[in-house]
Amino acid sequence: MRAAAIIVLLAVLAAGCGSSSSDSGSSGAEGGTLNVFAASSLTEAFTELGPTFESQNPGWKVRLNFLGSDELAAQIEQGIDADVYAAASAKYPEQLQQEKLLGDTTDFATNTLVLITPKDNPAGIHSVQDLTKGAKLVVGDPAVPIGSYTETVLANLGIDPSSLDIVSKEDKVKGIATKVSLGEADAGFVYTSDANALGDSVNVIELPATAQATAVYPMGIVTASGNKEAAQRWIDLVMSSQGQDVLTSHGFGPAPSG
Amino acid sequence: MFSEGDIVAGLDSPVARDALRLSLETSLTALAVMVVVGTPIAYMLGTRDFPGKSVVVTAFELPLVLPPAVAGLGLLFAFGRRGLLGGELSALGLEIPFTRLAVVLAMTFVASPLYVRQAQSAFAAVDDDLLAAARTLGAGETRTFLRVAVPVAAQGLGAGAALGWARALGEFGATIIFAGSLQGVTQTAPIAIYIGFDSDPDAAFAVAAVLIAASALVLLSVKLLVRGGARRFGPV
Repeated sequence: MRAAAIIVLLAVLAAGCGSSSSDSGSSGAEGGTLNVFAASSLTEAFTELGPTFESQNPGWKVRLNFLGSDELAAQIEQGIDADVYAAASAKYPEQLQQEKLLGDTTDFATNTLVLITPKDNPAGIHSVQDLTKGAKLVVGDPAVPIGSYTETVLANLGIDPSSLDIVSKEDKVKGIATKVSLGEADAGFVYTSDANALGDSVNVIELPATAQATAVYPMGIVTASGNKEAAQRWIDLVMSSQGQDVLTSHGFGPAPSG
Repeated sequence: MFSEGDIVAGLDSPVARDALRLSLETSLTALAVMVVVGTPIAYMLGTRDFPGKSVVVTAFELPLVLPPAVAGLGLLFAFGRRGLLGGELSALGLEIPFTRLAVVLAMTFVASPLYVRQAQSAFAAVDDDLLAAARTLGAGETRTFLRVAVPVAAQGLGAGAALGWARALGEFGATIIFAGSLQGVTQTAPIAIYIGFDSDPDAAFAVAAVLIAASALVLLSVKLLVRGGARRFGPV
């Protein structure tokens, strides 16, 4: 019994090592797999840029991993194969830099927040102030950037979060978007880019400019990456006018100048 | 990496304590629902044959093999505000998503097949002659079930309940889709671990340590129960 268990364990370990070495072993000039870890809000934009990169860099495959910025940072801390890390705030990239796990970062995009409601708007929300009338609101957990930006916006608006009926604090922005577009919640704060991706399935309410929190997206090369040149080419693509156009078309603001 | 002191300190955080309390309460509620509703169903499935039985069994076992996220979507489509029963539930003043009830429902949905399966085979193993004897001696169907079948199958039922409870305690995917995550209301221990992993690793590791201990305890008790059953009734 024990022998069988050890054999199974060894087989699993061998399979695990095998696959990871084949990944990193293909890091030669002729191509390989570029692992791009990106905040959940970048899903549509980076998914569009993936094939562009692959056609510009024959032999390279882009593997995209979209999760909350915090989860991606945790995965990188645990040593998962990652080449590029693109986050929705500076918090986690700075943390990784302190741990010497991430190189210099480039700010490549900005994003703003909007309030969304289901198409039929069951709670009759037409402005941010209507939220205090008992609407079921979904926000991001403060651990993820959308959650902390939402706290900033509410503070700017002078709305006390305890006066709101917050029914869930989601672990990533797509969780908020889905729960509102399915009509299970009355409203939620998401990025403009997410509202853009949801299209006609939700109503979008703009926030007053004075209350707005601007999310700045930094991107950097993971220190342990074996594909640093290709990773740099990905960053160059995102910073190029072509990359910036794709981001703009998905509702992002341009990279902050300077 | 983490000492006992770290675990105790991690458990001191309100997030960790709320999550563990909520997980304990909701998983025990789910267990109660499983046992009360599942036991008669398992008895029927274990002791009767009827046309279409395999279809019924398949339907009951489906949540066991479904990805939990699919289970969560299924629950939304059934009990969500816009779901099949959403209108009826709203008329009763019930909105289930984002509530503690949603957590219990998700747990019950994914965990009950484990209990029902185990209970079904426990009842199937009960000697038919015992049940027939009880009926001959004038016991009604309910009395036969409660006084003969359940006591004889008790070990198997206990083992099934332990497994079902452990699965409910570990439930994550269906819960986060159907119930969301809010501290003290729907943020169960597994969800708190997932969200707290990076922002509050001490609390996450502490909660994880408690779950590991609880799961080990459950597995151990299942083993003891099954062995006790074997001793009483001979080899299974």
